[in-house]
Amino acid sequence: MLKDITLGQFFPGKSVIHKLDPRVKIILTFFYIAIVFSADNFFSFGVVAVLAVSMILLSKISLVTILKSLKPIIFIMVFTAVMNIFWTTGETEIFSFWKITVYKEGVLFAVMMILRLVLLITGTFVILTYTTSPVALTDAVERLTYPLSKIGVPTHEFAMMMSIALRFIPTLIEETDKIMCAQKARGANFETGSVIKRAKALIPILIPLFISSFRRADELANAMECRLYSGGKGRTRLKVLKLSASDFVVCSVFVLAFAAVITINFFTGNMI
Amino acid sequence: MSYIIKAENLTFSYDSEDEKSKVNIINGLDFSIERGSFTAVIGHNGSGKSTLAKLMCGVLEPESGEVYINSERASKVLRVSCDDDIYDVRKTVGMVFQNPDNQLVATVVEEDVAFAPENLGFPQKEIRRKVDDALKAVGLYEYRLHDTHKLSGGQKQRVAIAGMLAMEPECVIFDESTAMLDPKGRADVMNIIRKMRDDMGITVVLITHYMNEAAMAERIMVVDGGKIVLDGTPEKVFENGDLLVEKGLEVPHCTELMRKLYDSGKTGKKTVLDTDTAAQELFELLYRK
Repeated sequence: MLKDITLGQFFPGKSVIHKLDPRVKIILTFFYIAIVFSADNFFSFGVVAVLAVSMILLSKISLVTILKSLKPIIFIMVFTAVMNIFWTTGETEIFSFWKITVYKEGVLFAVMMILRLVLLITGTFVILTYTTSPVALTDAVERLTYPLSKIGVPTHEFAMMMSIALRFIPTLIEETDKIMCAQKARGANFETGSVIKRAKALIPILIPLFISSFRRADELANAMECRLYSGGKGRTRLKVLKLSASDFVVCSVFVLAFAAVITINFFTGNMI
Repeated sequence: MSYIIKAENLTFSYDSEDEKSKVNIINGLDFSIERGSFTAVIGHNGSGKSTLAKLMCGVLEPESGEVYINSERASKVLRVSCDDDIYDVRKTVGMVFQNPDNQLVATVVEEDVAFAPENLGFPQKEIRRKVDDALKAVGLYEYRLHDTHKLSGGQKQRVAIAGMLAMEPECVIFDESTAMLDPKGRADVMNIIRKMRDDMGITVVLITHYMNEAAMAERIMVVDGGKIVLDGTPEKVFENGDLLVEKGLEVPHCTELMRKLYDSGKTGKKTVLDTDTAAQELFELLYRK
């Protein structure tokens, strides 16, 4: 039951997007967010949409999965749309009913907001969460934040903690499953009763889990010391991240898209 | 032959549960382990054998007494209780623990094996070579890109051994490393241990409570109450069957069977250590008539 939990929803694959340098992907994600927010008319949104769709196609992740990622934000989208339609005042009136007047500007703005949200979510998910393994992500964060370690921020330690946490997630899930079975065999009941009662039933799972995690941590620390771990100083890596040609190509595409969005904004002006 | 590990008057104690008194777990041990040898340490639960293992590789610091490590690479004899030496001690004497899950650091097999050489600061090419060699030695080269948590217990333990081998230690201590494995995984690990000793010249200390594993060693130390009660070749140790039973241990089944046959005057060999020899003896006994 617990084994179905996936973290970060990473879909392994061998597409161009998967193979991009994770550092580049993190930077591109921020850049992409900037592009989405600087687009402010339908033509520039068209450019962003082309960019997002081509990334989806390149990543070879099914459209269904991507649409599913939008499910949690449907409420936010509807809410923003409704708010914008009814509360934006403008010049062109479409219809008015009782005390509510809907203007053309409001409708346009609502559509734009929805577009912006959809593009934001699908784009960032495809670049980062769906196509980058958590390990690669941690690695990239460590390397990107490396300059901070010069001023005393323990970046290596944070990255090590993150990667060990990721390593132990499946182990601890397995352990939780085992403890739950053991408590069920002793007559524990996790399924019925009020919310408070069910929450209380979790205590006999959490306590053994905590104790065993501490024991594991202790043993792991010993094992790491035996393998000569002594912090990030003087440590080299088996895998060195290297920028490849495709990283540069994708980066240039993003820069071009950004330039296009800015130019279109400048020449067509704000539509609203 | 020179020694690689030598303990002198080694003592260690834990705080008891009420934290008022101390429980002596190791009581003035003296022994030395020959370079290139294969030694088994046996003892019942709580006899101090795991503590002994941790003292030998510098995970624990002795309360009094000293463990000397004679490394080929170091210019002087290393001392476990000396803070300046501890890094070299750990580089010389590696340790494989009991629970394979709690000693793997990375999610991918090859990255886990690379952990020690990475810590040693080797250049990337060197790390690659060491990792590949270590994985080939344990027969997991094809699995180098697999997820560690999806491997079987035996495979995980082999990854842990590869992680040690990549460090290129002179001696490896196995602290009940086969206890959590199924028979197949246990046999695999034992084969690798033998290969390490025979082909790579690594000194092996095997802490175990499986008597047939101990029988593979060339020397057995029986630990009880923090003291060595028996020390010698498997033949010699298993001759003292009664003493072993008294210490909460047992003699391998085939050894016991052959001993009983010998005592009743049916066979000629007093001590038999492995099932193959026992089978041969029985065969002769049955067809002689």
